[in-house]
Amino acid sequence: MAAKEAPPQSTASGGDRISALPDGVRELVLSFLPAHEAVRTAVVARSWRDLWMRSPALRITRWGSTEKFNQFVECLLRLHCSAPVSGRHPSSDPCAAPALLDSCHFEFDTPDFVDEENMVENMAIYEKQTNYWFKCAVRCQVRVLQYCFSCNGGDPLELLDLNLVWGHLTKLELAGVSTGSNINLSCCPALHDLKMEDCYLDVWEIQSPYLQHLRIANCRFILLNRTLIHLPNLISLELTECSGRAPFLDSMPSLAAAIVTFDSDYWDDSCSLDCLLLNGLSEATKLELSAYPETVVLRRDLKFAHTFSKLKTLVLADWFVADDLSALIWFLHHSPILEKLTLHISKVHENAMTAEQSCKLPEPSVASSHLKIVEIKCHQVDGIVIEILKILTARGVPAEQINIKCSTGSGCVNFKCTGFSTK
Amino acid sequence: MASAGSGDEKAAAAAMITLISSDNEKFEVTEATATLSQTIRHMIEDGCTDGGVPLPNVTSKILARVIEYCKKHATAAAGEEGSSSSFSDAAFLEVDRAFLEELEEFDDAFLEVDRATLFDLILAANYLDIKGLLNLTCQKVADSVKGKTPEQIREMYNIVNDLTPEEEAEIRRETQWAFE
Repeated sequence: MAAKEAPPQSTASGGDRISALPDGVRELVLSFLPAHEAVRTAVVARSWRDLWMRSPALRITRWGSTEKFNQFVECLLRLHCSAPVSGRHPSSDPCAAPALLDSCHFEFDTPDFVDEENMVENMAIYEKQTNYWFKCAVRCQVRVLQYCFSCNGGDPLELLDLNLVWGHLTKLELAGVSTGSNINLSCCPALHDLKMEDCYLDVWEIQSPYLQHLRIANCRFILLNRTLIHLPNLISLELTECSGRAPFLDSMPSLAAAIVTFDSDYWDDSCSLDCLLLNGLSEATKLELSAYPETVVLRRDLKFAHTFSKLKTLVLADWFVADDLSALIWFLHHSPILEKLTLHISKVHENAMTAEQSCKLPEPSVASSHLKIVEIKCHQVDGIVIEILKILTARGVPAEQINIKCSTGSGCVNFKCTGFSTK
Repeated sequence: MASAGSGDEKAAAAAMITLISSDNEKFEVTEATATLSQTIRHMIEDGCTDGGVPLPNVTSKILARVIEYCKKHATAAAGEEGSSSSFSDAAFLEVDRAFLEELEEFDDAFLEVDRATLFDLILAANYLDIKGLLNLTCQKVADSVKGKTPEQIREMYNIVNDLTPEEEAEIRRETQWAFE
């Protein structure tokens, strides 16, 4: 059985190895080329003629004039969609099932628009075209769609409509775009994975009953209103280095892992009387929360937050040191089955708290029996680290389970805490 | 990265698979390594791996390289499989972040082979259905023809142009929209 589909034995290196590759492999090679280059290989030899039409992926990058390029993308998608799965000419059998397109990638760059006289106009043409291209891609039953614009700090490209109706789409990746309409993915039942990077989100709502994995990185949320993120079936969330107004995370009962890190100019809406983020994250088993010590959102959230009853792995960076480590103490109290705790401190705290100042130690009565590993990553063992050690040992964490990793400018020192005494 | 998943490693260690190359050399690998190949995974599921898996199309030289790739990537795959998250554990543990970088370096070094070996690896990856290795090797071929004219591609890979001048002109007309 194993030998049934045996490839030919390797031939001497002088032969045409590339044309001798089994069905599907040359198509895969072409899928890694820019689409216009893949099409141009049609004249290499007879067996290459329609190869590009069976390529599982199209990587569309800018070439030629705007007019030429628009015509190209239209032809490319139309012909690829109409290509029969096997057979030589697209028109030979109009009833043939369309070839499925696994993935379609659009990759643009700011210089793509400046080579001609009017950049703004060109971008406007693209914005209009993009929605049309997306419709073409829907017809191709594309499963993975990636639309990336490297705006290099400039204006993002505006996408007019993200209320997509895509039965086959499983993964959507957007970069460098802005959208003013709500992101409602309720009509994309197969869409489980959404990634957004460097986007401007002028939206009231991001919602889908199907989405399982969401990554929002370096995005800017609109300041004028608060974005509601309603994704009841989300399993993993990455919300990193965003700016604008902090969104409201609705409950996510299936959440397994989440990373939330804050940019320094995150809008700290301290007058909100609701828990914005933490209650949405409270079902997570793994959680990483990093923010600057002056970030208010998370600390304010703690006043309204529920217990993290499933939390096993927790990483806290920097923000927990504020207010006499009250956030750390809160988590030690409200994560009953926590097993691994990692604490990052990226700044040396010159003015270490004195023992008198920081006596809000928790009652030592309840030992954290589940807590097996504690890692403290810092620049030097300063007052804050000593305070952390006090809190942990007071919680019954044996000193030898605490690892301290010091990275001082040049080197890195690792040591275990073997004993600790408060004078 | 030792502590997590040691249970899995034990289970995998118990199940060893013997792969037999075309020149009859035997390679003993863990099931975790072998099942990076969908072809072998299906054989294991069908229970037909007792007495070894003959791979009549893969020489010992190429099989050794393929196994080297699978061993390295099996560790990474195990991590991803364990969690249903799209970003796996990597983002949480800096050790793993370093491991991913190491994996990339490994892939780069792995591809430092002559063209004949590269094609043999492609054939083996395709036959054994190892998606990561097939993508990696095909990408390498794609990179080699990127920016090349059809004539240059022919020359590079000893491809005989079997199109008549009329046919070639016709195809160029048909695909005019993709040329400057």
